[in-house]
Amino acid sequence: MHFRLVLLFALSILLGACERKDPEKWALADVEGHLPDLKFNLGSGDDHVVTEKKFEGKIVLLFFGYAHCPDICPMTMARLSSVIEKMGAGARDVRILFVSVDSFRDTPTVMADYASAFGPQVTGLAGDSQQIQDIARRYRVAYQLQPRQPNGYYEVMHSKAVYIFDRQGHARLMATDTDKPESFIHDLRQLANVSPEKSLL
Amino acid sequence: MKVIFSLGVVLSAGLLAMLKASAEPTAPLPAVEVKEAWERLMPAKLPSAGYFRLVNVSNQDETLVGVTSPDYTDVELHESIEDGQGMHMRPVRQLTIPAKGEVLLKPGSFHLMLIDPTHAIRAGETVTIELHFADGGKVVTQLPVKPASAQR
Repeated sequence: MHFRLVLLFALSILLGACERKDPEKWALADVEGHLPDLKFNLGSGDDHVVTEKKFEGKIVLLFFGYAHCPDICPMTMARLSSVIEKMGAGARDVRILFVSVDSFRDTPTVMADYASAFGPQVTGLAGDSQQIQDIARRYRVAYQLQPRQPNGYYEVMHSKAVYIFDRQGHARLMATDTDKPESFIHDLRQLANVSPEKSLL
Repeated sequence: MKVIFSLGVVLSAGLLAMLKASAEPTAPLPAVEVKEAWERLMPAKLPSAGYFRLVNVSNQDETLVGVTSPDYTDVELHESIEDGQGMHMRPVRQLTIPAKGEVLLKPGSFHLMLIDPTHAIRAGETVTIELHFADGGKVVTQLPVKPASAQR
């Protein structure tokens, strides 16, 4: 009897804590309320209309880069993938979206190929220059295609920011690949656990 | 031998000495050693990256001026850099490895950009690269090929 009362009391504190705005401590930069919800209209593989609806209920890590980027982009993808693997239980609810800002070279097919090298949790997305401009503006992402070299290659300046959205598509955290894996794991676990409790209320 | 000598006449004495040396049965040890080499293989013929540690065991600076590979049409030396705006890749024309010193090519820093493979390359294989130095020296080395998701 006593035990039940204590349990009820503990539960009410817990629920109360969840109702209060952001009782959690985050290791990454907390951007809640400062950036718009996840929203885009891009293509991946044979699917030329992929929107945020495909990722409803998932925790989403959004990163901007380009496919002809052999160093920073795969390094970031590899780090994010390894962090998700180490998360444990919550890992299956996390997705990485890799959006190409190089709309001249990167097609939905190229981006799907690129993403497949990192595992099923990664989706590679491409769009025309207007579609890319739209999502880049939405998250204030800077990018710039550099002049073409004699061999036809060109570099692309891109952001190293990783945007993290909760299961409801709200922008919650911002990170870079220099943030510690432990910070990602801590915060992603927290997002994975916290959100379902919130949705119960 | 004839070719080497006729060339040597028009070239500098230093270079002649080097050519003579390389014609000897036991070639001198290369001044630069390549360690911890690997390639990050990207899918769909996208450019891949090469990484390694260059150790200069000699008493004079060595300058890397070019890289070629029979497995890739084009190889460029690049450096990833960050400025106030974002991430860039900068072509590196030459890279000096100080005497008795070393330079590390690693993710997020100096790296080789391996462009347009000449044949299908799979993770688990090795590719060959040739490092060309300012003094005319050449070092040939193998890069074990790792999948895109490898971290080192």
